[in-house]
Amino acid sequence: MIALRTEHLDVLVVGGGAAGSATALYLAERRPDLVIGIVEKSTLRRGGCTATGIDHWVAAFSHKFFCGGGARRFLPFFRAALTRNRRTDVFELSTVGASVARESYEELMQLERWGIDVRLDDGRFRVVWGAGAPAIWIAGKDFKPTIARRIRAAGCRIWQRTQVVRLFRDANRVTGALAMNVRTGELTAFAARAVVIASGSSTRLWHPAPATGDERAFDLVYSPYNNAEALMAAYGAGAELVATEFACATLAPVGYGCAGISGFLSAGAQLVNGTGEPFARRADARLGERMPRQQTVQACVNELRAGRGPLRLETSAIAAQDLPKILFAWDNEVPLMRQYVEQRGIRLGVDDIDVEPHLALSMAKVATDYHARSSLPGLFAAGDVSGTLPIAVMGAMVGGRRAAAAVDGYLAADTGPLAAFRHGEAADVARSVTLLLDDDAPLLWRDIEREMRDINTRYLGFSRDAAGMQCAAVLLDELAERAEHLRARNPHELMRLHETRALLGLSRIMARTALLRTESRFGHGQFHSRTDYPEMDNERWLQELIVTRDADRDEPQIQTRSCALTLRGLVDLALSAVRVIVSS
Amino acid sequence: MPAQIDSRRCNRCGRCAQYCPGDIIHPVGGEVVVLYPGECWGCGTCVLECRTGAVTVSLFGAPQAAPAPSRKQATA
Ligand SMILES: Cc1cc2nc3c(=O)[nH]c(=O)nc-3n(C[C@H](O)[C@H](O)[C@H](O)COP(=O)(O)OP(=O)(O)OC[C@H]3O[C@@H](n4cnc5c(N)ncnc54)[C@H](O)[C@@H]3O)c2cc1C
Ligand code: SF4
Ligand code: SF4
Repeated sequence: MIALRTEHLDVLVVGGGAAGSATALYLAERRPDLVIGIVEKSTLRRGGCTATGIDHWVAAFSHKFFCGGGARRFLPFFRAALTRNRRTDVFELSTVGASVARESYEELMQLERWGIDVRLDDGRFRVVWGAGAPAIWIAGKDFKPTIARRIRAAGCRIWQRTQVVRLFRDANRVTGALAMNVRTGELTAFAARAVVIASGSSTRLWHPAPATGDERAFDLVYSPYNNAEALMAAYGAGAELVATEFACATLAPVGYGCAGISGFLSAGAQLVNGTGEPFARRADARLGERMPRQQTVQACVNELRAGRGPLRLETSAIAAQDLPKILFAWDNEVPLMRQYVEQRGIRLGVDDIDVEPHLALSMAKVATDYHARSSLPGLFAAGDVSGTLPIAVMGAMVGGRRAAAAVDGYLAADTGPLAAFRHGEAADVARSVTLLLDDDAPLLWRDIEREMRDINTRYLGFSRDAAGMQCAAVLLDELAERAEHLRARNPHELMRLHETRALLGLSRIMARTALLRTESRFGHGQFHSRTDYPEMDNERWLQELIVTRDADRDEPQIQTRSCALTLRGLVDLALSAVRVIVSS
Repeated sequence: MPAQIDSRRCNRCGRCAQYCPGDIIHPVGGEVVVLYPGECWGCGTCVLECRTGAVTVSLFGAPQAAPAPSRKQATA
């Protein structure tokens, strides 16, 4: 029997990546009187997508004083937000994108105050490549270690190697969570007046490249350790989820799931198909390789489908003066792409890189409003797992700031005591977790996960149609029944078991929501490619699909919600426009 | 692809095991071991944290002291 401890907190932050760390720090600065706990599956120093660093700060529509051309870059965005038939995003992009444009600079200055270098020795900012929006260099390798030190200094309580697996609630609100130490198996019930989910996007739902088998399950562009446990815990407690139907795809070197190809494309590298034809302009005559990333991926999928593979990226098309920018960025961040280029012996500016479409992550999120509030009182979300902000460190920090402000407001208004926390229920849940440990486990997580990925890759991956998705829904339901028999031989396997179950739950939702969305869409991080509905349909589908759990039948309930331009969106757009124009 | 530890250079400080985001490296009976190689992201955190240069992440059996298997074989 594993021991169960109880801890009482004012605020529990789930996940100590970019967004969770920012939330905890902002909150600790605002309200030093609060007991803030941060629970992280790995470590604060190296947890999450930014484990080994980041190389650019998405400066959105930034100031002339570091990028130049602000108004020129901003206008197309402004027009797209206001023109219905141009919008590719179903999120309320207008509010979010525009406000982020305003906040990106403030957050950058905050990073500097927290002790992270954002300028060169001469005090100036340095523009590096970026996909679409201008991006500037920051000392990305120091990002997590520096922030982790700050969080400790701020007096937050920290649980590392600890995985949140369930949320608790009473009739009205979320009251805490159950978490497990993934090395010792020790269980902790956290009673908290507010909970912030910041657990990142969900990965490992597909074989990253359809042709490759399950041996590459962890070879991903995004962290393979960000899965859906916290997201599905929120769903289990009754919170609304959104964007469950969308994947987010990218391009990666053949046989190696690593970030960085987008940077090459922004720097001017050219995509070439098996016949030697540069095909990007065929897909988008105006933008070519600079078309939005999901469209680029779709163009590549089409080439492969038409038998015009393999695909290559010509680095010789990058202008000589831009190559040093890439090298400069590499010196300061994630070693992954450099590792690839060096080990392959690729000479930048001379050799080609073989590339393939890569299914990276699910865009499923806890639905939040502008203020990072979920649909459940006491539950908030920030970062990649939340509402609508861009998946970038900048979006994570903006989300963290908003979540901190919202939690502060909620706690100020909330007079209810923690007594609502039911210890008996926590002990019951803990017991059910303990029962999953079995030395002779007959069925292990990997077996179920492999089958789930087979189904998702085949029916819910790069090409979807109604018949396939109906088939997937049935197969996934059957798989979920078998997953009831999953057991683990040690706490590490138990961690994976929780991940597998959550991913399977999310897959079942995806099969249903993706079937309902009778269109194709390639927005910012919204990949949904249907062979039976190949066109984007803004007349009908400028809406979100909201999923909640029907507690009686334990089934997803799906509703649509319009994401038309709101008054707040218009005000945000206008303020951003003024700021950009003034500074240009 | 999985990380590999060269036991001749490793001083068993445990930093890689402490910081690996995937819980892949564990101390086992006085050694530090890549216990779950099939779950390695290849992120290089262990390489960054190791102070003796004992860890490498080899993608394609690239040149290094101890020849590494190709990542396909290694993760199978
Ligand atoms: C290789 C790479 C390079 C990137 N480069 C850039 C860049 O240069 N610029 C940029 O702006 N963005 C970049 N990004 C994107 C950026 O890293 C993410 O958008 C950002 O980290 C999102 O923050 P987050 O807090 O939502 O998620 P993460 O930072 O990934 O943090 C999520 C955290 O939650 C923890 N967690 C998950 N589940 C649980 C659970 N059940 N219980 C407890 N903890 C849990 C995870 O361990 C993790 O630490 C990059 C991403 C990758 C993968
Ligand atoms: S490469 Fe990353 S995931 Fe693999 S062992 Fe090293 S730190 Fe862990
Ligand atoms: S960090 Fe390096 S020296 Fe320390 S245990 Fe790991 S491999 Fe050995």
